[in-house]
Amino acid sequence: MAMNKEELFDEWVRGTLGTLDTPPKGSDTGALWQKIQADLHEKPKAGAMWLRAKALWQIGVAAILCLAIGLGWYGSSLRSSTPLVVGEKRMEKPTPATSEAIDLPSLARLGAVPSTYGRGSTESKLKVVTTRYDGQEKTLADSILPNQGPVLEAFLPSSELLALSELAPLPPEEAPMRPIPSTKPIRHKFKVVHIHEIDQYQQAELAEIESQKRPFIVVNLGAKSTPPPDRTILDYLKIN
Amino acid sequence: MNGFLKFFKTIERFEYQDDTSLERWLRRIMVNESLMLLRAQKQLPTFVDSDEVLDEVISPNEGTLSVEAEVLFTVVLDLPIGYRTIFNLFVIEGYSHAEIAQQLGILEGTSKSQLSKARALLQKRLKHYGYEQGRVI
Repeated sequence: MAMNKEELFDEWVRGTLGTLDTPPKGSDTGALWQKIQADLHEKPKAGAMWLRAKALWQIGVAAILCLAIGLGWYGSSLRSSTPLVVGEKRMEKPTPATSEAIDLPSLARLGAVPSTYGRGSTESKLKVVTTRYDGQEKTLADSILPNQGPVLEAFLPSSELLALSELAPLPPEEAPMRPIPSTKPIRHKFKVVHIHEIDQYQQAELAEIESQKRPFIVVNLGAKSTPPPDRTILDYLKIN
Repeated sequence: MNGFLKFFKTIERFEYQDDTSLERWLRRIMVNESLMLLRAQKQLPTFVDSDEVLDEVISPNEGTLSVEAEVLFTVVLDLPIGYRTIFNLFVIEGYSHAEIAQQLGILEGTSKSQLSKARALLQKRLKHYGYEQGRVI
């Protein structure tokens, strides 16, 4: 495509000026290069560095504040969830039972638990309290069972306690008054002993308790229709 | 000088494409820095028409080759600032009218009219330096 006269003129100007290989007259290239070198190797001013550090400091403080606010909000949301309270003490989160523990269905099969248990019977009442594994504080869980012989004396795992609390709510007069935080994890232990071997077992356990002061549970499968009075496990063992 | 400083400080961003890529990149930097400086100083050229009577642009012929490059450069520098700016950006630097209008904050029509008048004035002044009328193509 042929170029018009204007394009030809432009092409001529570009070609002519392109032949210039010397700097314009009156320009000092040496002085210009010296000034360029000085500016290229110029160190950043202290004020600029200070401003940069100040900006970084402000960004860091803002980030820390945001993190603190987020953690505080998250912590408050966790604290707002109320813990489970059964009896007079606050229950920890459910812990798995030991290898020696037995669950309530197993007790039911052994006859220790009435058939009405778990079926919403209003006659059955279970008063549950927690226990400490260090032996300083131990209580018994009493069950008032209308039509059966065996008495269930057991420490129940916390998971079972939670289930019981849902099935058979405590009467108002026995409702928990205030939660008492426990400092040690609550551990429950179950043992099943045959009636014919209970004497031997009691002697061995008594010796062990005396030495270690460790609480234990005895599931008595004998014929006892009335619930025993509140007493310590040692008293119970001595009597029987 | 700011253009050269920016060129040296940003040399690592240059990507070689051909023998003229470095020159084009340097030209772009120099032009942009110059315009930024003028914008900062609020000294962008104003575009007014020259009072000189201008003839139609003619194409050069072989006789114009006698005009030296330095003479042409001097004549270009003597153009009014508005004409010279548009002429340099379009003819020498290769900017389009749209780009020139955006850079200078003017209309494309203004850029085109200023360019045609710059060409005519330049030719008129070059006649004193051996620019002869060429053939009509």
